Amino acid sequence: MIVMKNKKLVWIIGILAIIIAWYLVSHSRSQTSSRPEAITNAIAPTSPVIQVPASNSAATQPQVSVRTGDSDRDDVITRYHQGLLTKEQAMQTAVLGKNELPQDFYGKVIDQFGQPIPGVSITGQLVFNTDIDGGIKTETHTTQTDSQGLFQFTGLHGASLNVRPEKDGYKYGDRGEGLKGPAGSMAGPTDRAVLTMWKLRGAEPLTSFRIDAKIPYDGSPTTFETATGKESPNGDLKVTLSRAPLQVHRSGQGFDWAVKIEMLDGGLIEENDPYPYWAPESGYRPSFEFNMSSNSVPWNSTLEDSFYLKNSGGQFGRMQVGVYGAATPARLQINFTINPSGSQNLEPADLR
Amino acid sequence: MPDIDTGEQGTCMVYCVSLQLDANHDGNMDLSFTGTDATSASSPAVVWVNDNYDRGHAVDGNDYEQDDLGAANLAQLPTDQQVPDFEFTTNGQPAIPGTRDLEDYFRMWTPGVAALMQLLPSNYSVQLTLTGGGQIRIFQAIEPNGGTNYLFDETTASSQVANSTSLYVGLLTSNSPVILSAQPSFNEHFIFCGAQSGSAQIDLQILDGNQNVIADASAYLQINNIKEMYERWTVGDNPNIAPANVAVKDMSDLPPLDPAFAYPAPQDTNTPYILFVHGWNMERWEKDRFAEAAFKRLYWQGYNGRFGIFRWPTHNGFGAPFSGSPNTPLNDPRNYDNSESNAWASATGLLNKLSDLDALYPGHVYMMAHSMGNVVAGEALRLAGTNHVANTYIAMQGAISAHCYDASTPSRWTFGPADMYANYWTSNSPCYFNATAGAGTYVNFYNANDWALNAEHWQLNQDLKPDSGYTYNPYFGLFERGNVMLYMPTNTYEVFSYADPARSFALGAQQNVNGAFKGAQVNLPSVWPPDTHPQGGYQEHVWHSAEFRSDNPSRALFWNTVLGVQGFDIK
Repeated sequence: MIVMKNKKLVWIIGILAIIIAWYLVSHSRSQTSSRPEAITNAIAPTSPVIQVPASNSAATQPQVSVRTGDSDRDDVITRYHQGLLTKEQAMQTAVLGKNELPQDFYGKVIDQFGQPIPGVSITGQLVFNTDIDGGIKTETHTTQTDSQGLFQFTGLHGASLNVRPEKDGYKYGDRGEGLKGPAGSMAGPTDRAVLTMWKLRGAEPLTSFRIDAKIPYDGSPTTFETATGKESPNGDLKVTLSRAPLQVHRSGQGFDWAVKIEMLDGGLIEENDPYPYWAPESGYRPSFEFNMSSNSVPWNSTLEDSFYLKNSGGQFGRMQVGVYGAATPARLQINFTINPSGSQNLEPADLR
Repeated sequence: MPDIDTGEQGTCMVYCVSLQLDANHDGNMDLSFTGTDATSASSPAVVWVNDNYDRGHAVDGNDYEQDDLGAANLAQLPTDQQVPDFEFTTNGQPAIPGTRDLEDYFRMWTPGVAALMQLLPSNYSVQLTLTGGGQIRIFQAIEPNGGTNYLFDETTASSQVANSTSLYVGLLTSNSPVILSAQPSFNEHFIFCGAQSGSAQIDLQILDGNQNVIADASAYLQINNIKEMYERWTVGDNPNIAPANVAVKDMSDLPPLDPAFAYPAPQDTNTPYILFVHGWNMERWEKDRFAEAAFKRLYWQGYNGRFGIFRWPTHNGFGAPFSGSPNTPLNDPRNYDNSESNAWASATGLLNKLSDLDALYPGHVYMMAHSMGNVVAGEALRLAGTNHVANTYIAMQGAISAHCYDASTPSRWTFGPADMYANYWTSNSPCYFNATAGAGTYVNFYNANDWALNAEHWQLNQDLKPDSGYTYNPYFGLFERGNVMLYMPTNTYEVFSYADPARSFALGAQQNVNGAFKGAQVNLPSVWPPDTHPQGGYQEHVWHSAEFRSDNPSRALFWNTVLGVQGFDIK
């Protein structure tokens, strides 16, 4: 029994000694502690900070500016946790360190038909951080596309490079519409970022109007006239929304919901063009259906989409649709642009 | 009907003139005599004095923005421009300083007068008079129809400003009428701003050659200090003093004998109340100016409900360059974290205020918080338990870990101290704000490229935690201050503020956050105009507070969205 007790005591003392020793070691590291997991997770006592690919960006957001890797930032964090930098120095180093990023940019400019555009003026706004609180300075670089529509900026270093093409008779999207990667350091002479510009075709008179309506959510349809935007039982646009359960919260819980948009005696084509200024001649479908299951990831109570349309009068147009399925009653918002002449041209007069 | 004296009969044309205001600021002038825009001495149109400093100025090195300037920025202007906007001049001529200032201007029409003047003898005149208190400064409207485009269209607004000296009509006071018929080109449409507070009766008068009034139309105005148009609640503004648990009304920056403003009890229980919670790095006056920008922009969306700010003690003074004073917040390694600590501690005071408001406006309290204000707001709603103290909560550019609401949003790194935001506070536990229910609806207004929430600012500050003096003890899965173990949940606020680095992106930079926000979000660039700043992509400093900066035309869609079906849903 005594032996047994002594053995237990030895084990207990041994375990305690290990814990105390480890505790002292971990404290002596102070800020050199390298983010081990909680004991209830896996312990990784000496792992450095590891950046994993993660993105919070909306895929649909055009990103004009170019940024490259963040290894310098990782180094700053590591040196801070090793006690080699103060917090102030770390923040300064991280912000100013971005000014050293290479900003080579290889691009090609084409029009909506895929044809290269020579002689496009390209402005590259090179941005440098000057302080932590948002201070910047800029340096403007310019070049022109060659006969193949090609251009490049090389040898530039800065925090970011914002590239913008300009040429009379062409339009480049105010929000960077038309830019297609690869961008920045990911691009190269053989794998260029493509910047599409809209070759102006001449505006025609267009009519625009807006529907902002409360609609039922029990599967009962509502109809509107696309020529006027007015709700009418004889309208050519029918919208039907259903949800289950009928009574829902606007946030916090997913639910099943569906919306059907029908163009009676006409049709719809879902549109995601950077320049939706020319409606397709054919290919229209009589309806569009959207279904959101409560289990969908991500789940959303909103449908925001754009369509080309051909209405019952044979007119072409475009509509941006917002359906807010969690509102009670549900809400429908549509911005219409119609060419009353029957032309496919949807180019607005103020496009320049 | 024959003349009562002579018995003679004849025909005549009767001209109606009136003095019209858009009293309910819904964008429509109701010209009927008893309509929604009719005013009376007991029910005047209420406007505010244009006594702030809306000016364009250089920001962030070589960028430019219009802001409501404080004393420091004002001192950098030429001496003759260091005046409130209602006194602003260009080359000595009264002028409007910029398009931002137009949100302080109201519409006034004199329908019928132009046609009448064509027929009047040349020695007749038309004038505006003011009886009572207050003063207003009047310009002709640039829009021929006197519309609202000066508020909502950038081109019209710029034109109104560029031509303001030639469009100036006059300063109307009780001592000095404005002679409209003396204007070189008569226009029936005007815009005006308050130049001095008071209750005023404005009269449009037609005078004959002997200066007898032969026709008169009136409108009634109440011109207020804007700080007497919304409620200011504070749990303290000194960052070195712990916030109080009960917010009090504030009377700072009011005339000496004026009490702190408070609304009378609502007559209608459906009256909405919007409470704004500010963010980090704001002086007291700046907190109020942000609130006033929000108030004005909501006003121009037709909002007729009530409005208040909840102030809490954030540190401030951000802005010195690296080589500057050693005492600036960013040179103080823990300034941001000190403020976050105050933010968590202010939540009790906010909850108490929300509870009070909910008793007065049951089911109609709406809260919007900006940046670090979302720490205060989120915690207050958690503390509320299952009591709905807010109908809807909008988190704007929220500077708080997205993992507080949804542990499944992306992590920026994997190995490190316990993520107690995602698993509060042991592994496999739910996230910190799991099942929070203080508001009926939670909406996330986010910008994935937000400057303040990016890799070099909010994220870096998180990654530099634990702060100096704090360590993580992996054996116990707890943090320590020196040798003092910080137990949970007792030390939650301290751990979150100083020790535990958020692995996630900030709420205000993260799309598709589930939990309380599931299904309700607004991608901010979709409600902002195209980004013309040098970097593009909505990634510059100015966008972090964009809704309070720049001018109304460029921000109207944002505020429309706040009130609309994607926001509070009260439009």
